[in-house]
Amino acid sequence: MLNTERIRLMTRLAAYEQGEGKEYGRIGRYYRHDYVGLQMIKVFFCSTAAFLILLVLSVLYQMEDLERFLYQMDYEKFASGLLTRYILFVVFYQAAAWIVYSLRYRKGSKEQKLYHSRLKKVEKLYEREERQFPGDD
Amino acid sequence: MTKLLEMREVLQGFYGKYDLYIRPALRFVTALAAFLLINGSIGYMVRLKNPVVAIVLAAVCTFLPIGAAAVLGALMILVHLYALSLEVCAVCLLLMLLMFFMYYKLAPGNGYGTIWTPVLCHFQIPEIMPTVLGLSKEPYSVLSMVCGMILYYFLKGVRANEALLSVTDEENRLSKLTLVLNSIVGNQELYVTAAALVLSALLVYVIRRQSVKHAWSIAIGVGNGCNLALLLAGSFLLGKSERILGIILGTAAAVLIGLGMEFFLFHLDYTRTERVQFEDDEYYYYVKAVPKVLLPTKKKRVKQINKRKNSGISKKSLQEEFEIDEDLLDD
Repeated sequence: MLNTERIRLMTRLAAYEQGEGKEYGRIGRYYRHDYVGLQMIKVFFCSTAAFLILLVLSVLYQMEDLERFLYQMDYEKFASGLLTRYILFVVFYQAAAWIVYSLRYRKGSKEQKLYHSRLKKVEKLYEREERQFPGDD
Repeated sequence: MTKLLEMREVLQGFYGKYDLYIRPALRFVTALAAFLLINGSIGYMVRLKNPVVAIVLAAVCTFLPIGAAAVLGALMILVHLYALSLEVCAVCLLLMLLMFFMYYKLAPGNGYGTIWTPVLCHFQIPEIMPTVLGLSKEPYSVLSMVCGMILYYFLKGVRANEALLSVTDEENRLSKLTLVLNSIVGNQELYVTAAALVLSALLVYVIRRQSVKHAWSIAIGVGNGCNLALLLAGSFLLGKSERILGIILGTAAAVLIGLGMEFFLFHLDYTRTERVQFEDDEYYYYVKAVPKVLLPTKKKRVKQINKRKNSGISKKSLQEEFEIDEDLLDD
C-alpha cells in the first residue's frame, strides 16, 4: 500500500538533493570558519583577477595617451596609488565574501538539519511499515 | 473578483500539474529570445546567424540550467564580434571575465536577470526589470541587471560604430579600442538608467518586505514612481526627449506586471488579519498573521439517476479481494 506521507517527504528530499542540496551538502562537510575561509581565499584570487582586468581595460582605454602618460609619470606615486586601490578593492571583496558566505553557511546548516530530520522521519516510517507488513517489499 | 480568483486557482493548478514542461519551455523561450536578439543585432558571422542554429542551441538549453544559456549567449556574442574585429572580441571577453570575477562568483544563479535585461533594453522597456527583481529576488540580484545593461550598451556601441570597427587598419587599432570602450565609460545614458533601475529595484524590495498593509502594492507604486521620475529627469538632462513615451509605456507595463505578480504570489485578505502574542523560555513573539485569499474548492457531486441495485457481495469479488480460490467459498 502507498504511504502518502512517506512519498511526500521523499519527494521533498529528492527535490532538495537535486537542487540547492548539492551546494548545501558540500557546506555540511566543513566547519564554518573553514568554509568561509576557503571561499574568501577563492574570492581573493577572483578579485585580484578582476582588478588586473580593470587595469588592462583602463590601459587600453587610454592607449592613445599612453606614451605621453609614461613620459610624464611619477612612477613612485603611481605605484603607491595603484597599490592603495588594489588593497581597497580586495578588502571590499573580502568583506563582501565574508558576509555572503557566512549567511550562506548559516542557511546551508539549517537546510541540512531539516534534511536530516526528514530523512530520519522517512526511516521511521519505513520501520513502522516493516512492523505492520513484515516481509512486504 | 471571484472569476479572477477562480482563474488563478486554475492557472496555479495547471502550473502545478505541468511544471515539468513549463520550466523547460520557459528556458527555451528565454534562450531563443536572447540568441535571436544577438543574431539580429550583431550577426556578423553569417553561418551562426542562421535562425536554425539559434533554435537548436535554445533546444539544447532546454535541458540545461539557465546559466548554460547565458554562457552559450556569451560565446555567440564573442564569435560574432570575432568576425567583426579581433580587438572588439578581446575587449568583450575581458568585460565578460570582469563580470564573472566581480559578481557571478559571489552570487551565481541569476541567469534570467542577466539574459532578460538586454532583451528588454532592446525593446525599450527595461523599466520592467526592477519591479520583477524587487518583488521576486534578493537585493544583490540587481547586479545581474547591471551586468546585462553593460553588455547591452557595449553591443549597441559596437553596432553604432561597426563601419569603423570592421576596418582592418594597423594604425587605427588603438583608436578602435578607445572607441568601443567609450560606449560604456563615456555613456551617461547607461549611468543614469542603471542608477534609476537599481534604486527603484532596491526600493521595491525594501518596501515589499515591510510589515504594512498592501506592502506589495505600495512597493510597486513607489518603486515605479521613483523609476519614472528619475528616468524622465535623466532624459531631459541628457536631451533624449524621444525616450519619454517609451519610459511612460515601460513603467505602465511594469506596474501591470507587478500587480499580476502580486495577485499570483501575495494576494492577502487584510480584513481577517490576526495579531497574536506568546512567549517561550527565550523570546516574546508578536505575530501578525494575514490569511491568503483562497477560493473554497468546489466538490464534485455525482448524482446517480438510475441507481444500480446492490445484489450483495459476490463470490467473485471476495475471491479477487482476498486472492483465494473460488472453491474455498463453496463450503
